[in-house]
Amino acid sequence: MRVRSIPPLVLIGSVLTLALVPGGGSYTLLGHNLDFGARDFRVFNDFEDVSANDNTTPHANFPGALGATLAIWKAGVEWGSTLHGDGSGDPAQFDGIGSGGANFDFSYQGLATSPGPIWGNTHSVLHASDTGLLAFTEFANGGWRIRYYENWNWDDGPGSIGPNTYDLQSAATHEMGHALGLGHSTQIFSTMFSSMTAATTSWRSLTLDDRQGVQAIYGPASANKPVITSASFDGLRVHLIGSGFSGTGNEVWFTSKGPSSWGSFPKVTGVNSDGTSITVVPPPDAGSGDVLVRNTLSGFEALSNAWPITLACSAVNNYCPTTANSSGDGAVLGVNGSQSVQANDLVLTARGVAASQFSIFFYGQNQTSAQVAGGTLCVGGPFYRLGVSQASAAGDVLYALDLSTPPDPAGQIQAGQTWNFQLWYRDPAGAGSDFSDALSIPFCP
Amino acid sequence: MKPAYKILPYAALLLLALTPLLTAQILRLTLEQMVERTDGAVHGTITASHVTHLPETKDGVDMFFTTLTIEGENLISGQSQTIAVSFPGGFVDEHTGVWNSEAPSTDDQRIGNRVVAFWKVCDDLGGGFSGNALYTSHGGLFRTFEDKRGRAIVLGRGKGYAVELNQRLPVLRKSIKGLDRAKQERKTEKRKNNNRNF
Repeated sequence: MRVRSIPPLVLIGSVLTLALVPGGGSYTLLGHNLDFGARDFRVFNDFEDVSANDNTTPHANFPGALGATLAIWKAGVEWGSTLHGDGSGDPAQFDGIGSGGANFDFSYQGLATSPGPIWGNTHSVLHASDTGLLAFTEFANGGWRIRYYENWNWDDGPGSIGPNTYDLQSAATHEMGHALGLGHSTQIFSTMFSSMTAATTSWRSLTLDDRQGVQAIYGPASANKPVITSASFDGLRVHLIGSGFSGTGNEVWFTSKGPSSWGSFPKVTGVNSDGTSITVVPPPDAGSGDVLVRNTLSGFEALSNAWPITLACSAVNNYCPTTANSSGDGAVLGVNGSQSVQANDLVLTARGVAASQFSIFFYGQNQTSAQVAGGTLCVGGPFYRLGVSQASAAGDVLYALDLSTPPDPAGQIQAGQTWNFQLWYRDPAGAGSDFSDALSIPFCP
Repeated sequence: MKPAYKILPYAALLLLALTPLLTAQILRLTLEQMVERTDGAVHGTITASHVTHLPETKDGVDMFFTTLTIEGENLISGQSQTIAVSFPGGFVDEHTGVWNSEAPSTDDQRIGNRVVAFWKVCDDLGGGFSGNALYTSHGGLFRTFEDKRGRAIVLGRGKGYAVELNQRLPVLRKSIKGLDRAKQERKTEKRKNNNRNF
C-alpha cells in the first residue's frame, strides 16, 4: 500500500484511537469490563521451577497462601481499590499493595485443580517451547484465563528475584490488568507496558498511568463504595467493620476453603447491617483468604475492597503452672486432632502424670487459680467432669473428647466458644492428688 | 515547510505505529536479540489465515491457534519463500474461539497485508501444537507500506519492540543479514571450540 493511498478514514481512526483515552494517559482500553460474576480468580499452582514456589514465609495479609499462589494473589490485590489489610506483604512495594483507587476489586478464590475452561478465571502454567511469549490472557464467554509459559524461570519473590528469572508477580499483575479490561500502555515503566525483562520486579507496582486506566473503566473509588476497615473471626462468626454497607440485602463474599469451582464461590446473601458493621456466619465452604461486601447499589461501586481474614480457630493455649509430683516435674496437657466441632476428633493428652494412676479431665468456661491438694485448680466453676482414665506406666493419658455426648447439657461445647480443660489425678506417693497445667481451647465449626 | 497534505500520511503511519492496539506480555527484545532467537525473517503478503482448534490438549483444556501464510522473500537468503507462522488465539467461526492478549491485532493479521515476520521452528507452541511460531506473537509482526516512490517502509512499533522506528525495508534487511551473519559466525566458532575440546 502506498502512503498516499491511505484513506481519510484511517487517519481519522488513528487520531480517534488516541483521543479516546480520557485525560490523555498512555493506557489503552480493550473495550470490556468485568461484571461481578467475573471478579473471582483462582490459581492452579503447577509451576515446576523451584524458584516459583520457594517463598515459604506466610504473611498475615495473605493467610493460607505461599509460593506462586501468594505472588499471584498479591498481583490481583494490587489492582484493588485501597490497601489490602495494612498494605504490607512485599518489600519491593514501598507504597503498599492495593493501589488501583477504582471501583474495582478482585476476589481471591484459592486453588484450582486444573487450568479449567477459558472462562474459569484461573491462572496456570502452559507447557510449551520458546515462542518468545511470557504469559497471555484469554477471553471467552465473559470470563478469562491466564497462562504462564513454563519454559521460563519464574520467581515468586517476595522482594528481589534471581538474575535469570522472570518475576511472576509482575507478569500476573500485567495479565490481570488485561483481564480487567486494559490494553497496553506506551509508557515503558507502566505495569501495562507490553514487554518485560528478566530480574526486574518494578511492574508489580501500578504507576499513575495504570491507575488512570483502571479508573477510566470502573470510575475512581466512589464515596458510596462499601469499605472494609477490619475483619475478625471469633471461631463462629465473622465481624466486619467499615462503611457503606446497606441496611439489608448485603452479600458477603469469602474465599473458597478447598479447590474452588468455576463461576461460583462461597457467599452469604441477605445480610443486614447498621451501615458500619456486619456479623455473619461464614458458609462451610469458606476458608481463610479475603472477604468482600457487595451492597445493594447497582453500579461498579457496589463491591467493597478485599480484606484479609483467617477463618481458623485461634491456637490452643496452655496456661496455669503445673506442679511437681511423685513421678517428676508435673503433668502437662496437649491436644491431638482438630478444634472443629463438626469433625469431633479432638483428643486431650497429658504427659508427666503420676505413673499408672487414675485421673479425670474436667472443663469449664471460666478460669481461676486456687491452691487445692498438691497443685493449682485453674478451671473455674461451673465445671464438668469427663470419664475416668488411667495413666500409662510412662505417665501418659489420652482421652478422646466426644462433643456429641456432654456429661451435662450445660456443658455442651459449641463452635465459637472457648473452654478450659484440666486433669486431676491421684498421686498416693506424693500429695495424694494433684493437677496438671490447663488448656484453653477455642472451638470452631 | 512541507505542505500538510505531504506530512499527514507520514503522521498517520507514525500514529499507527505508536498506537498500541494490541495487548501482550512478551520478551523485550532488540533487533539483535530477535535475530539471535529466531530461525528466520520473511517479508511478504499474508495470503491465507486458518484457525486450528485443539479441543483437548495435553493440559486437558482446549486451545486455539491462528496460522498465517506469508508469501514473499526470505530476508536473510533473499530467496522467495512461502511460510506458515502460528500464534495462540483466534476464532474458528463467529462463536467458536478465543481472544488472546498476545495475538496480533485483527488489522495487522488481515489477508493482503504486507508484513515482516520473525519466526522460529517450534515443536510445541502449547498444548502439543507444532509449527513455526510467530516469535513473540504480535511482537514479531511488523506492517510494511510503500512510500510515494514505491519503496517499502517497515513500521516501527515503538520502544520495547525489535523494530522501534519506521525504516526502509532495505535498511532492515541489511541489518538482519548482518546480525544473522554474526550469529552464524558465533555458532561456527562455538562448534570449532567444542570440537577442540574433543
